[in-house]
Amino acid sequence: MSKKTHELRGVAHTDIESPTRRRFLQGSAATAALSAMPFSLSLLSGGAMAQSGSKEVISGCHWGVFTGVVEDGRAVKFKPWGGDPQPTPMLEGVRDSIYSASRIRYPMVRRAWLEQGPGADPDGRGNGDFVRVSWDKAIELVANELTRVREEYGQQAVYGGSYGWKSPGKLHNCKTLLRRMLNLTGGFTSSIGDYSTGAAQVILPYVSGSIEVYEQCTTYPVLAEHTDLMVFWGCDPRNNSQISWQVADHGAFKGIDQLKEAGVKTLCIDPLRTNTCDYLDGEWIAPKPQTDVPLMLGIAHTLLSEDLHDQKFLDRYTSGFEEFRPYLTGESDGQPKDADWAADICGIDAETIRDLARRFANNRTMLALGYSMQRQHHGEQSTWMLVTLACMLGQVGLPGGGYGLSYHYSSGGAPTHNSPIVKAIDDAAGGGMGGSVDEAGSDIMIPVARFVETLLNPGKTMQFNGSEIELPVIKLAYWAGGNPFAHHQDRNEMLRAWRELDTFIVNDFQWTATARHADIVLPCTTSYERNDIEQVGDYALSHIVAMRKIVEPQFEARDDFDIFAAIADKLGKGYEFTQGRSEMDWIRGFYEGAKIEARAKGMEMPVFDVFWESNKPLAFPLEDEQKNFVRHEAFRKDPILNALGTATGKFEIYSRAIAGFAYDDCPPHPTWMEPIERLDGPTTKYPLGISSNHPAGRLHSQLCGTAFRETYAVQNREPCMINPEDAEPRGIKDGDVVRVFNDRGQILAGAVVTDDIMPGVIMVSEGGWFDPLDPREIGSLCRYGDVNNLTPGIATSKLAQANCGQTGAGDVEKFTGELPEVYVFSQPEIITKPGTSA
Amino acid sequence: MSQDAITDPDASTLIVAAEWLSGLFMAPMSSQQVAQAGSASGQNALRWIGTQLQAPAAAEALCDKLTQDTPENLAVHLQRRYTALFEGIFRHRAVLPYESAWQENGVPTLGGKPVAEMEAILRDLDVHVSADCCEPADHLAIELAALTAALGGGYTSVTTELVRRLQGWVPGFVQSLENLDPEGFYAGSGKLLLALIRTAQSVLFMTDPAVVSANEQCEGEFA
Repeated sequence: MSKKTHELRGVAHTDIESPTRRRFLQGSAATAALSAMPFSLSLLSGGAMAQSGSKEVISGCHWGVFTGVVEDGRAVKFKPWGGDPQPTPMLEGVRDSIYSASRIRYPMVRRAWLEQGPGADPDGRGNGDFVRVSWDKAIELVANELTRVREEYGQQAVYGGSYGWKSPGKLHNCKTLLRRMLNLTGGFTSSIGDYSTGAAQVILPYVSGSIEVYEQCTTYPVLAEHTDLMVFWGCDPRNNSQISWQVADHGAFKGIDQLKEAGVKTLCIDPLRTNTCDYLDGEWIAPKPQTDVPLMLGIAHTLLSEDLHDQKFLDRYTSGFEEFRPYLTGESDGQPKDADWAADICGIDAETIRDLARRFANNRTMLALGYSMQRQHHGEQSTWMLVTLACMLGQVGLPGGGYGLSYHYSSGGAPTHNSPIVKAIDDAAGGGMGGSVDEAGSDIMIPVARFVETLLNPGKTMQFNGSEIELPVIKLAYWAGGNPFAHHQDRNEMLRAWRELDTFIVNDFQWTATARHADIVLPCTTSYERNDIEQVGDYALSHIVAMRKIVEPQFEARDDFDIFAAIADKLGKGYEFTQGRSEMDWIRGFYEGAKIEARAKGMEMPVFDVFWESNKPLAFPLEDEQKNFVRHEAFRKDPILNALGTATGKFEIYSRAIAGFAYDDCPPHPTWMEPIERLDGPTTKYPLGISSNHPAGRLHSQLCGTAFRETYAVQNREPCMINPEDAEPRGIKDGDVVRVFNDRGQILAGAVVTDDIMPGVIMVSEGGWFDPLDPREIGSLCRYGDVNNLTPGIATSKLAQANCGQTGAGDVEKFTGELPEVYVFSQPEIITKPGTSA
Repeated sequence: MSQDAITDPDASTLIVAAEWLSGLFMAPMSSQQVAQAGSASGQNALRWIGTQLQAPAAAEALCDKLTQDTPENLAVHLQRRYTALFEGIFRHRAVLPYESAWQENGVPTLGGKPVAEMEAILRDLDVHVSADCCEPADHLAIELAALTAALGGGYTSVTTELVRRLQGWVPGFVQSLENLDPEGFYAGSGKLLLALIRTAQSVLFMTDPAVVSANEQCEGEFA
């Protein structure tokens, strides 16, 4: 490569003196014109750069391990790694994310904020009036604003809860890096919990002693060998195991193939005929959404009334069944929760419910529960009731029986390999480096889904999981690697709440709706423009993969690590943030830590440089013990020695702790509680239930802004599944653009008329990018189809304060007005010849 | 590659015009730049460019816009328009100033083949994109900067290739600007840009017979 030798200044006046230039600028007019140029740029420098050859670079992402094919410095293809049992087609969208037209190219500041100061014209957020600024200016603005807010309102006024799926990697975990910077520079208000399993992960420690939803369940090889009846209850692993929190291993696909080959009978209970159901040719039972608790109670009542329940298991391994029994039988409230009662609510006929009870009891049955049921009003109850049902069946801890709460996504059930844990950079809290939240005396954490409520109700006391939280005044929010304008519910309430903020700062690489609603936008690299290290499979932990940089940073994007280091440095904590280490120093350190742990396990990993240059994932062995793991087997064998983490050491069907909280919306045993609205609910205004499942072609909102959207969008809108029985009377045909609406909001979507969804229910996947027709207007029509315009922002209950993204009802009509263009993806208008546009 | 210099006096016009437009499309103008462009000497330069490119009306329209308000207010206005047009944040689609985004076949994207092709052209010119410039080589401003380098260095065949490239996508780009911002400053600048390409073609037409057929083809497509 030739070195930079001299500047060919594009327009600098000195160029006039260049011999080659002077030859052409012969006339005085041209010379004068050049002298009057307002620009002085140096776009080109002398000396050719050597042509870079083709190369293939190993890396990993939420969608799996892949090889980036690079030609002339451009990533031209992402090829799935040969060891991937089921690569996802979304990899092409992953590659496109580097080059999508939605890419944020420069640091930007909202004009009103820049010219008039923090808090100016909050209604104008989202209208796109940004000013491009230099990185130095942007970093200075962020640092100064953090200081101002902390000085004027206190450190709790800075919210760094920043929730989202970011990108994998042990170093460039932007959420952790944000918190590290905030901890080191003065503290902040943080968040607790998540949007995926917010209710389940709070109630399950009372029920089974751990959060379970992110813990290994009985493995697929065991299921294939021992299970007679596999029940996927709102659970679609073939859809949701395309992705993982770390780097996806796709082990669930192999596992499901094992079920198929073994001929395991499959039953799918879901308003949708899911991918998993379809693949396994499963039996489909479609209850009304949000009525799973009555269905479970009806089954439980049948078990009890027909003496099919396992009283010995209940006696030995559970506590509280006797407190629950009067509710189940109706002794306590006069309403037996029998199959007939359940049928009236859930829409499944009573005989089918009774038959389910008998089949569950008479077969080795695994109940695999998804997340949607606990993302509903009173969502804690469905998880609790499912565990109760499994306890009544008495198969918990037996091979192939019981329940599993992590089959739903990320290949839970794929056997865990004998692997060391690769450590990650920390958030510096309590690290003794000064300035942490704890040391500064403020450690406020609010339930993650209650941020909007916090903004709207500062000073209010909130009940949460047996404690009280005084909601702080928040004036500055900083988000990195997340998209709250996709994942939070009730978009229009959220817009109102956001007006309470003085300042909203966002790091991202695409102009998501969240970035568009920011005051300061800092462009960061994708994980394909930096180096990192990660493990493969959230549960499998089968490999360690070098996430090697595939292409150089695009435009003016910087790594989150560098961005936060610069802010910390501006605030006097630069060294504390970086500890003087470079990107590769950190990565090498993580690897070396794992190497030591592996040695203790009797394995010798190669030295770092060999690993890094090998261009392939480092594999770890699978032992028989882990391959044949059965959840709760140890507890079943010895419930004293291996007691659960509950107060009684047993499964708690009645919780004295929850009883002590005396919450009116979370009773001390599993209970059917009518949600605020549902399909055919007693007070529900609208006729159609709204499901908002995880999309098949995205990771929540990730990849919505890429070319992969074109594989599923309908007239460039988010698809809306609707049954022919609902479409026909509304005059809706497959492919029509429809307006979906309720009292909370309205969206456009593209109709997909199909029998794969039950009558009375529509499904619009969550994660569609919010694209309001008029950003200044609360309630404006979303042109693309962000379903969270329609879902409520309420909490599941005072216990978990989790989100209710799967609660909602609305209606659909064919859209007959002038169809507005979708602008949120920034895609260019394509004109191939003047006077025409495609 | 031919090293024969283009000796037509219009080459100086092309260099000045290309540099002016390169700066204009590279980034939003500051108030100082607006002030300089709107000064008497700046306006004279712009009018001279317009005359040389046989587009005096386009240049005059830009001169008018540069004197309609104070430089500070104009800079704010132009920054707004720049962001709205070229970043594509709300209100309308982006008019991306990258050749990759204007390919007839395939999904509009950034970082396409034109980047690699432009990198090859820069190698032919013995230059590269400066380290402090974060744009890919298919950015309009860089293609125009390469054109000035090619003209200045007497690289006839590279000049021809660059003009051909610009003719391939800039008309659509300018048409889009005119659709979205018909009376705007950047659409007006686009007219000057088209005039630059036309003039460059005429220069090349006289010097390189091989360009004739390519020009005729382009005229057929975009007439």
